[in-house]
Amino acid sequence: MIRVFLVEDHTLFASGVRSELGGSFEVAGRASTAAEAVPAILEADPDVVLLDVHLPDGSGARVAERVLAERPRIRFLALSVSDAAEDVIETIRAGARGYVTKSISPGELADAIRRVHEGDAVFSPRLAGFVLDAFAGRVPPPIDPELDQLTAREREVLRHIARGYTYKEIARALHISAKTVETHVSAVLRKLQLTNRHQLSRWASDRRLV
Amino acid sequence: MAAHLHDSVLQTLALIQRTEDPAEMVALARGQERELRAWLYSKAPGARADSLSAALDDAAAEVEHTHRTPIELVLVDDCPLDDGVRALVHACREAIVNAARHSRARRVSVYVEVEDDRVVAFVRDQGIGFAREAVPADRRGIAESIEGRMERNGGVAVIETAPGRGTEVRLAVPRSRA
Repeated sequence: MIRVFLVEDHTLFASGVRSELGGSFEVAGRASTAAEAVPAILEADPDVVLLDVHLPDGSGARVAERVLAERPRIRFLALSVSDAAEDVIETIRAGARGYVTKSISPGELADAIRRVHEGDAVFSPRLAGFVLDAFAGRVPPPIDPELDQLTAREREVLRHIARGYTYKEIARALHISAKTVETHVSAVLRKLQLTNRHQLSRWASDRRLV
Repeated sequence: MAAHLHDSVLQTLALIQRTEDPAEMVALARGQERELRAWLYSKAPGARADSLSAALDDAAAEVEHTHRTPIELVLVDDCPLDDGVRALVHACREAIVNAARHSRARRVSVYVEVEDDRVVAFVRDQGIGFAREAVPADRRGIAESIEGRMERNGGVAVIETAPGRGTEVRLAVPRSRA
């Protein structure tokens, strides 16, 4: 059984998620602050951490960074009420394998946890939109084309995710295997995490809606 | 402090949406959420009143409220409204209404992207789909409000559907040169 750790300061939400996941996952622990989370995760050594992006004493991104530095095997899935570009990009760049909003249905959340556990990336339609926007061709020439641009195929896969297609439906529409869809999505995630484009952080703060 | 308060309201709204309760409750929660977000995150007043993003947000909010169906809107880039872009928003709205009213899907996905020389839009549901020839002649929404409107503005509309296969309406309209 996949062992899940919750980093969530909102007690009501945490207990809701806990009871939903109860049957199919083992809940290995919960922390409600960033300071508490890092040692508790290392101690519990879960498979997947569900990470709230805003914590009372800091951002979830810092938790992911610190844990991953010591335990790169642990997968992070960001779960947040925020859908501001800046939060999304920061968390993914800190090493999260996916980002879903808290309005996700229980079934979809379970599916996202399983997918992240298997090493795949989880893109919501909104995240796909942010990435397409961030990698649009309106910026100066890339420093490292390998990392700073999306291939036509990756772009096409992201567009389908933004249009509400599941990975399976994308595979059918593009006449490729579901595994190939996963490969493209993982490649995009890697680019998002590794690209050196200064524009990316500026892009995100330009999109900050406050 | 204020930020924390707002966060809590969002958390609670998220929780309500996750329950398996009636669509009504979900719609109310989403309406409240939308209001709060607009208040929390709105840019300077008037800054984007005449933009594609503002027009789409309004259309999605209105249909969501009237038809009690969540609309998932994703927009890449933004542009000012001109006749063509306005027509695209109207056609989009019509497609969203059709999906919310007839598809029986749990939600409607709307993706709009501003390209260099055109704006493209995709309205998709995973509902029951339909056969074009089975639509009664008195329901001319698709032919007139979607296809006719796009054609008059130099754009195109493609509708892909079949019974049991969901529906996707694809729209494109050229951007006028500034």
